[in-house]
Amino acid sequence: MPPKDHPTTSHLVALGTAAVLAVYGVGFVRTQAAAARLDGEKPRRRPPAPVAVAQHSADVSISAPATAEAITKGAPAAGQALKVKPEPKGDAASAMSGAERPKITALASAIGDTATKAPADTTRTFPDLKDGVYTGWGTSRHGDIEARVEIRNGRIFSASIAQCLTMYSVYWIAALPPQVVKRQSPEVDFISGATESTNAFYDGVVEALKKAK
Amino acid sequence: MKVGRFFRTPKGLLILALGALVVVAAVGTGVALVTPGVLAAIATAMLVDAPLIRWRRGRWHVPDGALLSGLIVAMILSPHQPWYVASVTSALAILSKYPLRVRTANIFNPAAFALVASFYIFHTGQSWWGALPELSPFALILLVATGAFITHRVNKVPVVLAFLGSYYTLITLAAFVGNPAHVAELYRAPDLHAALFFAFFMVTDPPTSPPKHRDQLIYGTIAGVTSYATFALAGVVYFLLAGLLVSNVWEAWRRNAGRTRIRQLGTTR
Repeated sequence: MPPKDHPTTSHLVALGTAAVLAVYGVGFVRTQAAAARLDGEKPRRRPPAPVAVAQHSADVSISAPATAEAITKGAPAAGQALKVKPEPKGDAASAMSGAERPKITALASAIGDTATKAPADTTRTFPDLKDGVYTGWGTSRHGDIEARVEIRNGRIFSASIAQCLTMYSVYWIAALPPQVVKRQSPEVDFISGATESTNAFYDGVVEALKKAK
Repeated sequence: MKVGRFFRTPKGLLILALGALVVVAAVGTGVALVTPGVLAAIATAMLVDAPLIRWRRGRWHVPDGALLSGLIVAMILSPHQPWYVASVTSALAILSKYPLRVRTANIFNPAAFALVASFYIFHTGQSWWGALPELSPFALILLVATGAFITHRVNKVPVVLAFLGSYYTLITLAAFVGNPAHVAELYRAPDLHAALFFAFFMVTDPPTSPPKHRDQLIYGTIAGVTSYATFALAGVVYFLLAGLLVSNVWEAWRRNAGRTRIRQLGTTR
């Protein structure tokens, strides 16, 4: 049983509560504009991909890195609307910038090293893409992701996650890079529970492909 | 102990409070989605703890502490995890209680320890869905009301105020000194809900937190400062839990130092 509240104790509790609320209130107001900006970005739609969605003409097995418990949805046909499962809001998120968020480099490099190298659609080429290795950043309220794509002979030869600065383990989205190569497109499946990270990876690939043009 | 009487004890009340929250949160998050994890976590925790209690005390007891640990683990883990992840995590929580002890109490908050371990073993996400982040702002009132009630009943108000005070003071300072966008989410759902749930139901854990008010202030401040420092420096998803584990270590040191002092006094007399 708690001790009977002494008047002084009650006053201290009231004072302490008021102080916490005041500090919280000041911080809340101070960050309101930034939060509104982030909220505005939240329900964004995917921008049109710079590379057309390729037809799945061949079913080539690609050695994907460990996908952990990521639950990927079935691959949609070209142009078919993706079923999006909303990401649970509860994932403790932050809005730390890519520059300041510590890098999960070990995990990211693990994924990067095992990035798929096998092109799936051997017929599809994009002559406007220049050969080379390109990177692009995608952002989300859970942190930023740097995607890397390698273009060879007008095709996406490999894709990987160069840096994963999200508050999740990179393994949650490890299934995505092989899909980019397989589909010759940044259109990847959404992963349940990691929708925003999926979007960030998509944006990163889109940006990288823009650089390749 | 009779059932009615048990539910008037702090532990019984905590089970009722978390039970109420988990029901409301399940409705908001999806009953089918969260049920496997909740059942797996609770059942595993109780099944692992029951024989250990029997072995230690010599007779069977209902492992009510394990029920709480399992419930907290399930309410924090992402419901998108497979049920066995919740199961193994809650087993880790129970197993961490026995080898890591100072005097009669475990050093680490079992749920916090297991959730951090689970992050590295399974790469688990932590959604804190049990803190009602996906419901209307009125749900926050339910969370605060149940939390404040339990905090008062276990006589841990100072530790909650010290934690929330130091944590939000540092975040507010960061918002003024640096880019407000870096910390904006911490004032809002789901991070706000997570911080409150953490403060009311985890930082106040009686076996791992100090009983005296002065010590509670230090303990809560350590948790708040290290939580923020972990967020700012490491950016890991378990930054709150990391803060709690550090303050657990301080409390274990304090308890051990107190015992050493008592021994020294005994030998000089």
